[in-house]
Amino acid sequence: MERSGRVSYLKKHRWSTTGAVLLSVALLATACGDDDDDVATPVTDATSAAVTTTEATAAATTTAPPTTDTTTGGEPATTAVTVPTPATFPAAAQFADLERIDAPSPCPEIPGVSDDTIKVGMIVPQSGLRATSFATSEIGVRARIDKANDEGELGARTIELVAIDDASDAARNSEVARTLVEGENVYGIIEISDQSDGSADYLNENQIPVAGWHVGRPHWGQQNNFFALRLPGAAEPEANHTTRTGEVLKELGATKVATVGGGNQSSASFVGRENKSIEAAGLEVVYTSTEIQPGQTEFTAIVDRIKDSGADGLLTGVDFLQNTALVKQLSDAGVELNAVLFPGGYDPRVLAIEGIEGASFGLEFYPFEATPTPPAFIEFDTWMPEDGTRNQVNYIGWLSAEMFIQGIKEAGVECPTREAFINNLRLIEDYTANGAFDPIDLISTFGAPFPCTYYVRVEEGKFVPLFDGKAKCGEPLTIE
Amino acid sequence: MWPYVIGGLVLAGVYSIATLGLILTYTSSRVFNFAHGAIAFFLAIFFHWLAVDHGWNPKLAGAFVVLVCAPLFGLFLWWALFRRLTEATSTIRLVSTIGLWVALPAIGRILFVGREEIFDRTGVGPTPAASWIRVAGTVIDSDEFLVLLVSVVVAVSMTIVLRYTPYGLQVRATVDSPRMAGISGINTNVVSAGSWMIGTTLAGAAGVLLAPLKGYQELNFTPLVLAMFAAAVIARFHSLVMGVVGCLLIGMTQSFIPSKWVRDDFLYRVLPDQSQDVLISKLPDSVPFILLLIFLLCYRGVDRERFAVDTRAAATDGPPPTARDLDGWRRFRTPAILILIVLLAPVPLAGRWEAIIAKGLAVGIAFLSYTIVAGEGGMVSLCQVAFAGIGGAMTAQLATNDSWTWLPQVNGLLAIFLAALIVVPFGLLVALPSLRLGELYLAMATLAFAVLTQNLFFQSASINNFDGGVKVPRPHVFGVDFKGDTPFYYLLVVLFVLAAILVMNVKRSTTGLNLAATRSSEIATATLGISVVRNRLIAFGVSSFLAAFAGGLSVTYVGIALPAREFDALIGVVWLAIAVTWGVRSVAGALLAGLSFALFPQIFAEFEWFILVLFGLIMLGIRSNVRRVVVQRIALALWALFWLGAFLVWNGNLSEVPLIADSIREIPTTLFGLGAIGLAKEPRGIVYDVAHRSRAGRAERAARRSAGPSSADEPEMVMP
Repeated sequence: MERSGRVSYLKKHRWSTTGAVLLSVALLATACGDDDDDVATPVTDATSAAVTTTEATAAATTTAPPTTDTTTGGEPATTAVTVPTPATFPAAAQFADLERIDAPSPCPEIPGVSDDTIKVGMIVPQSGLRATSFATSEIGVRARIDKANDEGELGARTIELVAIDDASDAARNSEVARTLVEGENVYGIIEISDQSDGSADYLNENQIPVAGWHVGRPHWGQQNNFFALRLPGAAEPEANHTTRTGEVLKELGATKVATVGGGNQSSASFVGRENKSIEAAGLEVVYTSTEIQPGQTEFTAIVDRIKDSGADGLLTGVDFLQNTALVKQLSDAGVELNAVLFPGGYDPRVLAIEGIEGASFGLEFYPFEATPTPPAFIEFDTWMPEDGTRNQVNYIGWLSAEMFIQGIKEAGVECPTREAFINNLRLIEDYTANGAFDPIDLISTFGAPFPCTYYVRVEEGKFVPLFDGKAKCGEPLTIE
Repeated sequence: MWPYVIGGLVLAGVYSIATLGLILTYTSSRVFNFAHGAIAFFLAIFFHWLAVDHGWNPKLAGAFVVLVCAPLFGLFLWWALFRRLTEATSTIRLVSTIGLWVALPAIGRILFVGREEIFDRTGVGPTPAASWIRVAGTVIDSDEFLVLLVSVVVAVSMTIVLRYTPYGLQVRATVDSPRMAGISGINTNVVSAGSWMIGTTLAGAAGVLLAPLKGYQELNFTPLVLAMFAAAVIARFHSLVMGVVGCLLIGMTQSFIPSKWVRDDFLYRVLPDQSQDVLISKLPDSVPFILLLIFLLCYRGVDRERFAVDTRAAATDGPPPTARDLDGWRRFRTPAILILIVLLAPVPLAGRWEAIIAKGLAVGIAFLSYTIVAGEGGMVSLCQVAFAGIGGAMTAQLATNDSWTWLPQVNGLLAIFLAALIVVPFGLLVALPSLRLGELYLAMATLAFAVLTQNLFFQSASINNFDGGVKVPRPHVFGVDFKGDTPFYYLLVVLFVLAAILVMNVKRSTTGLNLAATRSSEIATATLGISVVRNRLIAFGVSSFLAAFAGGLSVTYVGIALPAREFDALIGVVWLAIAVTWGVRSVAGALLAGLSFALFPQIFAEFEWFILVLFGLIMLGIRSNVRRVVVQRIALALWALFWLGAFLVWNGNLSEVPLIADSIREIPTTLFGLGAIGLAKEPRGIVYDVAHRSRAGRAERAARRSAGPSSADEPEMVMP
């Protein structure tokens, strides 16, 4: 109850324009790790190779289906994005015999569920340097929950959200999860943090439903109670990837690429994988660094080296403040780049920043600028607080809550047992988050690297969808 | 080349502005202000609050904060705290400003930041920084230019003021000899207050200039703090010129380390391949303390005398308590009650609270290490947290054989013990060179050790694992499986009791008695032929063992060893504040410190009304302890407000009170910081204070009953 006061505090925005920009935007490259990169590669093992040839090529050449009507029904058959069959991915094998569970009768007592409320926890870094990348997702989560509560989506019950800070610290994350489950007695958790590993085993052992953003952490593609908002990423990201990033950079006009990341695991392994992707696309990685510290915005030495390397393309895996600082310092030093690709940071407020022209952003849903505007975005816009920005981080929050609410519905709003949530939600074959992206089969994509994602570029001070607003796909890539 | 030179000059500029203030205040009052960087941070976020939250013109806000508020704030701090410290013992002088260091940023965040981090970079100049000048093809942006300009202005005007003005003459006279200056008719108080005002102004200027460059998080100010401390040591705490030279040295080194010439051509060849990147990227942050240690060792040979001279300080911390021990069963009453509470806690508190108390017990063992090193040894150590962190990291490596495969893999419990033993030589290594140099240098050296351990060891890939840490399994010993929380909880209780017995025995041992004698008078003790250094080394060794043991237990309990986050050097500063707040002379103090470190943040987060309860208690405490009627009435009024607040809680409205909602996360830290500051008044901590009062009261009552006034004069001592 106390925490409901947080909405008001979130509304009062204190950031200056620019800062603000950075701020919430600051999405994360860290995180980026997740959508972009993890989204990577199907086909890891030799066994899968056979299956994939056709699909992979299909995936590689095709983009997502023309998404004119993006509500739920993009039939998997027509969507080129369709992923290989469950058998392809070892992680998904655990769901081979999964069958729908009906609500028990009489309904047992369910932790966190009372006659009129369902208590849901949220773990998100609200403090510390990495908060830039995650904190404002809470606004999106609350907006989606407000919608559900207002429209009575869950029958007689409403959702009560308890958000706790994990400060992006694995040990804290573990404590916080315990607090939510044992102290607050929540039904399930919405988690948007790069340190979700901290509590993963605990939440899995207790079979607590978790929905959220995987931020490149592989356990989202390994443990059955974790539901990534779109795709969980590869169960073995170090082994499986995709050529997508390399191809995107190539199409944007890069030949020699500098890659910059650092800080946490997601970011460092992101850079490692993308280097392979870039090389696979026939480009050259001329400079790579994974040493950037959280909060660092002074890049003299890195700019110096990028200049010396003769790079004409840049890919980063750092947060938005750092991206913008780096771009500015590069331009101050007279470095001209054909292609600048940020895996996150898609936010209208970045448009005001000097030197952002020509930069491209990856995102895991259709661009907001898609025409006609998908109904999902109209809803999002309606329910977001008026003074809240509509950006990638907020929408990631919204999508995480969307997935969680979907889970409760699948479990049956009358008697949503945790078991039924985890079991039935996984059985969805054409999940689109109400039309925010192309349909996903939650079982066959489980633990699978995924080849497709969406891109926008800043042109004349506006975001313009790349590749006609369709998903850009890459070929599977096995990393030795 | 030029970009690095300019980058280095900018860093050196900010450092110098702050360092000059730090040295000036130290020389004029003999109080080393550990909170100097905290003041810079406080004033910077105050500036941000005015300029961004309240829409002031940034230039006006900057001028107002630096030229008006900062001097007044300095005057206030001098009046409220620093002037009292001048005559206090050196330990209290250190610990009180360390308390301010802990409390001030937390108070600042409550007042000016709230619950959202500040991520913008608004500064006095244009935002974002404009590219104003080009030197040799390198852009100097507006923020950097301002730093360079202000640092030159400050350096020049300080020189003029100190050399050519009457005030300067007075300051120099006071620095050379306060007594002589006083005899010659100089009001040293005025001089001291003046220099504190100037010092705070310089801190404010550094803060307001630094924030747009680095950001408004406290973390971004840490490099400034460390550089200042190192520069102050290089300046031997008195030479302004050497201070500036030190800053230039630090700034330039930091700037050039990542360059091709230093890193590619030198460091990459010298350092081992593994985790090279991490080490090198953390090297700039480590530079100040590497230089500090080098200079410390050099200076030691040059003139040891200078360090020891501190004529103003009284040598002891008050008369030794003249109390007799409690007799009979009473001796065991308090410990028995505490143990009973701890033993029974898991029954009603199964699950999460049990886990939190367990963590408190583990940390409590680390706080026991302060009982030895600070309580008995009278030394201010800021690196117990580093010992705990090393203990934790080594435990993880021994128990899992994770990345250091050459280590033998051993059972979890044995791993903790072995890890603690491994840490002992480190403890001795830190203490050995600095023990003779005096308390301030010991504090600096231990802080240096903690920071370097943090940067160069905890951050290395095999320990930190990119912030993921190393997972540690719970042990299985003697047929007992400690995987469950409750068995491990009781294991912790047993181990805490064992550690407490160890500590009490050390106190009673010859070494303990020697330490007590040293605390009373170092010179007298040495005259008796007792080796002061040897005894202090033993104390350091035992305390490092305890801290490391606690670290191992803590990571085993949490299940993840992530010392870079859990045992950060600055957390060690908070530890010290908590430990001294409760009292470093007793086992009960350590237990309460551990429990409150783990419990308070959780309690405040969970039960907002606890803030009101605490507030009520504090007001009641003031009412019954302060003699002045006005203060009593104010406390009474606030106490009434407390009930009004309680009424609000009853209605569930408390979270609507913005200050309360914003401050929950900061309150525990604030309290501990303030507690440490409060030591200026009661040096023995809360446990002593409370126990002393209750026993004194009892003795008084007993005396009244027996009608003989004679038996009441002797105050009793608290804990054994």
